[in-house]
Amino acid sequence: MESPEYVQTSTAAAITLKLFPGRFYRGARLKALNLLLTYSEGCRASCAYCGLSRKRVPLSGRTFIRVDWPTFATDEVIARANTYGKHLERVCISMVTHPRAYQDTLTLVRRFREETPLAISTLISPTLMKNKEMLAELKRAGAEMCGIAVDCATPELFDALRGRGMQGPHRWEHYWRVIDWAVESFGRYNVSVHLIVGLGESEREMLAAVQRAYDAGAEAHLFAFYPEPGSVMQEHERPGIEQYRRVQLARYLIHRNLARYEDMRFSTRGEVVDFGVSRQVLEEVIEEGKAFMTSGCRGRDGEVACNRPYGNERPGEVLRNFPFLPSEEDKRLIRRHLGLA
Amino acid sequence: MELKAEQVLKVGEYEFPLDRLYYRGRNAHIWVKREGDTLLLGIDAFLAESAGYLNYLSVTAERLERGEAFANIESAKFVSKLYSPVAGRVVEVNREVMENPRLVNQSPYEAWIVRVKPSSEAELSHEELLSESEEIKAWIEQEIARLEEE
Repeated sequence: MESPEYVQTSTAAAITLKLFPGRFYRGARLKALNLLLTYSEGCRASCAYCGLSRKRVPLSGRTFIRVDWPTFATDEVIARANTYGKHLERVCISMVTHPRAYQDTLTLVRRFREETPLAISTLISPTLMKNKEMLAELKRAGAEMCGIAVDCATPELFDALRGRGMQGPHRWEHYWRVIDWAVESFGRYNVSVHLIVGLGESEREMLAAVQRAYDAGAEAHLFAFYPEPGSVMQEHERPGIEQYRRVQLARYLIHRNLARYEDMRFSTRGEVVDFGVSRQVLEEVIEEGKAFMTSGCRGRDGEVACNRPYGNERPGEVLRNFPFLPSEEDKRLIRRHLGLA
Repeated sequence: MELKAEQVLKVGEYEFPLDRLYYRGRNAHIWVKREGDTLLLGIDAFLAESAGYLNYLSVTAERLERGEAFANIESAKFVSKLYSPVAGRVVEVNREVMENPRLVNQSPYEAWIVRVKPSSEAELSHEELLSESEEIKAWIEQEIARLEEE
């Protein structure tokens, strides 16, 4: 059962397509299908935090980003997306680091373009991208947004967790080179850079990476680290909620051109102590609530489509990424997390 | 004991054995089955299916009050309290189900959660405990429509 005939879907996608039983807490609605290419040999990479890593302890579970990713026939996923996908706006086809992944992604992008009304994102493995033309071909095939999971905020962390430190194939410089290629092919802000908060970086380092991505023409989309059982980082702690909220807020200010990284001030431990905007602006942004929603590729209405409900935490916990606008009660809690209550 | 087809109500894709009562208060979807002088409480097929594959199930109360929470369930994307249809006292927790909550998804009418000694016989005769096919059917059809709206 391998791609392109088969794909893995997120648990949220499987529920939405009625391939899995279930529903979403607080009435959340999935707006983007997340699909993952699948091969019997698995991913060739060995990232320390990842559920797909070839270094993960066998039989410790099959989760990726906290949940199961069941495998289904691509034909069935497409048919059900057309039948049950009335709230879906986008599909994201994610590579793994495997020699066949690029060609199979092209095949899947073309199929979704021809057979569904969904907008298409590809989450690419830069390590497989040898030249600009490979990005341009993905765009011509029908993808109009491109994601790149840099994940780590600094070259040192990247090398330790994804590169030489893990005998892994990924290289920091190449990832940023491919981001530039992707911006050339897909256009400014049709490219996203995934960053995981809580891998060991400081807030200052994370926001420097956010600003770098934004200046390069890419949006930064945030994830909160969640330890995968059996991974090298299974005992690593999740980021504190206060840390995550400060990074969310600062990222949003950068994306809205309300502040730059250079305007912000940090403590000696690298925590944000001044966001570089007035208290009134902070209050307005918090009241609006969007800063704390999941960051992801946009839908037809210009709002986030890739909303990944409960992808970063258990549904009963304080939400890191809100898959909907935070309620008044949520905002009261957010203010407390930010020390602004 | 296997029930005959006419002893099982089917509403949409969900089955409801008619050898027990169903609690619709607070949309709890808890079934109650008499066993001697105790009652078994479990989750009906509608909730077992719509909650998704359960990862966690915990009993949070020993003394039960009607309409009050007595347990929590959690799947990958959903979390909920379970509300008791009766007042009484928990005399046994089904340890097998606590250790493997997905038994509830596999066999909701065999995977009971708690055994309860009710406060009185009257606990089993209030209007939110349903036993008639027509009442159960009408309620579940409403619930299916509500779920479709989500």
